[in-house]
Amino acid sequence: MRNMSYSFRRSSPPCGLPAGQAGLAGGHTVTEAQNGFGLVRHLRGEGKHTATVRWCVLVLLTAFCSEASVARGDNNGRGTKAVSLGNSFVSLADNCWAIVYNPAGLTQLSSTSASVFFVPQQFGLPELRTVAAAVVIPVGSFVTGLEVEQFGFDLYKETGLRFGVASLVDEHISAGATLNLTRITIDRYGSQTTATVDVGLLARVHENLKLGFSYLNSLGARVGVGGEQLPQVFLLGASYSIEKDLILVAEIEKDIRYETIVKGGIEQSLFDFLRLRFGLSNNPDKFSGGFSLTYSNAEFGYAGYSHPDLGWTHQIELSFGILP
Amino acid sequence: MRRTVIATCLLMVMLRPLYSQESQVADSGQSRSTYQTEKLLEDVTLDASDSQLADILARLEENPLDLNFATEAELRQIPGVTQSIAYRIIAARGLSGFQSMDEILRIDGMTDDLYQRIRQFATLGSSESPGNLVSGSLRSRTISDLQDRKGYLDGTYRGSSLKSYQRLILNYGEPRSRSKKNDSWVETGFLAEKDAGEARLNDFQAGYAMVNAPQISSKVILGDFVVEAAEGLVLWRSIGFSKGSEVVSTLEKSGGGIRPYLSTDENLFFRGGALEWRSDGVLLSAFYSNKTMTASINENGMITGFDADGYHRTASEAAKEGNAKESLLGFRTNFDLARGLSFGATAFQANFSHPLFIGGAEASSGTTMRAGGLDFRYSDRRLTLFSEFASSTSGGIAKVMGLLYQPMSRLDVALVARDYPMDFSNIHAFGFRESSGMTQNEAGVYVGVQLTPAKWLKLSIYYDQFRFPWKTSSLPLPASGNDFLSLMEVDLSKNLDLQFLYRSKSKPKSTHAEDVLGRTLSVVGQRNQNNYRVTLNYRSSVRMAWRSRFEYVKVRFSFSDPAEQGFLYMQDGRYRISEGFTLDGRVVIFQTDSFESRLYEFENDLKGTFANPALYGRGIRSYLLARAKLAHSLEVSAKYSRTVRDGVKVLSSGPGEIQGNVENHLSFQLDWGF
Repeated sequence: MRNMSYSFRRSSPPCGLPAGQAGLAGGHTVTEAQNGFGLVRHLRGEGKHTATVRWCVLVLLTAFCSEASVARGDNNGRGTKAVSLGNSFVSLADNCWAIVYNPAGLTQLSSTSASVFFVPQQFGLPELRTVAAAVVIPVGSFVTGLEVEQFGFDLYKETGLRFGVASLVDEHISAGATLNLTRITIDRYGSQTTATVDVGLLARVHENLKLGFSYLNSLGARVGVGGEQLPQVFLLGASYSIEKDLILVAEIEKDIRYETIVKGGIEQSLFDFLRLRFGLSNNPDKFSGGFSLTYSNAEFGYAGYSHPDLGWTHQIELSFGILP
Repeated sequence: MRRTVIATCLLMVMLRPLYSQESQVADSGQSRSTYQTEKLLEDVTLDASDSQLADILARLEENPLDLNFATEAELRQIPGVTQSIAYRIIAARGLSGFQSMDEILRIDGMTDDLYQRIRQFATLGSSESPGNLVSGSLRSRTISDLQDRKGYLDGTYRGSSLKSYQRLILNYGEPRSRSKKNDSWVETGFLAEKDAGEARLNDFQAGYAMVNAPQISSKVILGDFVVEAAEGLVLWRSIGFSKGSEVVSTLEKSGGGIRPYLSTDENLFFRGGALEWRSDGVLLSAFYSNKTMTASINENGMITGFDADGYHRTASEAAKEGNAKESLLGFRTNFDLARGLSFGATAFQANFSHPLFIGGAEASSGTTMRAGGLDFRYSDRRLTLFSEFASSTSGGIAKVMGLLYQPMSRLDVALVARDYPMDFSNIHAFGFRESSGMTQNEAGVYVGVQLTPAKWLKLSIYYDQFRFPWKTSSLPLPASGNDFLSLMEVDLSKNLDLQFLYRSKSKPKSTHAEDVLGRTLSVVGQRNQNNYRVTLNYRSSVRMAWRSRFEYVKVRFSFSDPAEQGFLYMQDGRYRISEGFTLDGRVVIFQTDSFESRLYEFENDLKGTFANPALYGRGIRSYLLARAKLAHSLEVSAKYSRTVRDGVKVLSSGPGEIQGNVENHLSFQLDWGF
């Protein structure tokens, strides 16, 4: 039961919903927690529910899964490297997706690079689809990044646009900030756009040791008629490269409304082109894994993670480094 | 506990290689000092708040000691400088003096941290130009609440929500050479303060004129002043520090004598005149004060206590203002005998407008309160002994005795025993103690050990046992408790250090229970609190500093079952954008079960003040502080702080109530030196 309640830890009302709708959402959380796996089976058409119920439940589930994504792409994560390391990426933040986890990490990218990330079916549900693309361009002493993403389906949709900028503040520490614009569209309810600001710091304390900090929705933006506070998330982590080929990461994530999440991961490089990754996190207990293959300046990545109740999610990514 | 230690040791072993790769010489830049003041205040006060201490340290920073001339007693004003370090500094400077500050790094027992602290409060020679004949400083601070509290909306509070603090200090004579006592100078100070909700900008005023006349070996203060004598059993400023993670150096109070007063505690200071005469090891001071105070007066017309906050926001608070009067006459004398031995005596008589009924019936003493005490002190390179014995009108004799000993060059030990009987009653005392009320009804023994096995490692431990032999207003029975603290500070590299703190405190707490017949009884149980704290400091360069912290607290009660817990994560960054322009930001995310398991975090604040908010419930606190030096002598600083609590609709209660879950403040300060 304890685990079940965590399985919907993002189950507070979706931000864009009016108060009445939010109450309904809360009620469903309990039911689903009791039903457990039944829900997913019903959605897959194994049950005898009518199409209407199926759609309703889908809208709600989509909203649960996505609520945090206004502040950050939590459930799916963004980028296969981050996801396969258990989403502990705040202290690494060394690819395009730093813009999502820790904008300060963008300074580690010395050349223009771009990436496309695709989650065809979260928990096996095609309605919970995420497509995202990011590009990072160094400009003078700054590094800028742009990300676009879309989550959901025709009844519930989130469209996001992020703009990030980062710079070294001294030899070892960089700072960055991201402006996020998220548009939530709910069929027959209309849509609303919200702006949030994330800030991040990254410190290269030693050649082997990096510390990362990120504060998502730092200005405490609110949304909706009721002025609901969007989640503010505190991320603090460290990465340590034991050897050249082996990196350990650990991180904590705290949103005031939920338990602290402790995350960790390991990355091993094999040969020159293959990287294997594995990660764990709790609340809910998840494990993840993945790999990436590099050829010339292109990289293909795969990540998968398992949710204790909802099963596996697979993700793929293609990224390019564009030489300066 | 054992697991914590083992884990810590393992971590140290793992990270040790980082250190050996880098030079072990401390940087001569200022990068470390970014967190110094904050850490210092945190070290000496733990979770108390002492606005006068912030003032005193700010003044010491503004008028740094001259390391080549400072006496041993002056050096010990810098928290962290023990007796033995002070002696070694004096021995090391010899006759020729130090040429560079870095020379003190070679002194045995000096740590990087202490070195940086000395740099903050001491200089070499008068590097500042001699200055003008007349000089001064102006400080203007305003703090505003951005929320409307109930008291302002319904008119309960008489004034605006703006808090204002205006201070002016003028010097005539040789400024910035205070360590040279042979100059004559005059200093005057004036302060006007208004708390939020008070009607007048000068609701509280303080001021003084101080004259130093070396020709007649005298110092005179007219106006507001405080007296710090010996160990504080007869006279002390209204507050002081007792226990902290500075476990040895701050234990001996050894009062600084008469001091001008320009702080904002509105009651326990003196207003009148004080004279200090000093010659060849003899000190004699006499003082007279006559002032009104704000007291709680019961239906029998007896004073039961003095207001600590000094608020005059509501009509009833304002009506109480100045409802009691005290006139006081006292003296202090001290003789330095040969070989580090000194004796002193302090006494005063105070007459009040109403009879006192403070500290219970055992200690009440009519309208007249007298207290007197004798103190002695011995110190040599390795050993300091100090003690004070004091008696008051009600008859009890309060005693405090201490020993500071350095058996080895990197080991400091402190032992302090105190006994303050119930019938010792002195509102002007502030002895070393556990309880927060009067210096009364407490006995205890404190042991502190500070070990510096290497320049990169410092261990501090104290253990304090105390008992309250009589009932108190909050405890119906005699009770006892203890307090343990251990702190390990590890410099992993020149720029990276870790601190591990463990504190365990067991304190009596009263509660109600029912007996077999269903009658309600008052019983005393224990409240056990354990705090675990890990702090990481990283100074990337002169420009940027980083601090992360995790703290966990667990509170258990012997009389109720569920333990309470709480934790916080903190991230702080400081950035010096350019010379004279710094930016400082922090985010703290906290979660505790209730106010009982509250956690504190010290905040850097506008100069001369600090914040130490109690965090409880679930929420986020963040702030941004900017300081800019606009011209050589003009500095502007501003702070914006914001606390959001989750799951609450109303904050605070009574007239201070705020609708909503956000509380934010904006403060602004201007410092002008001329």
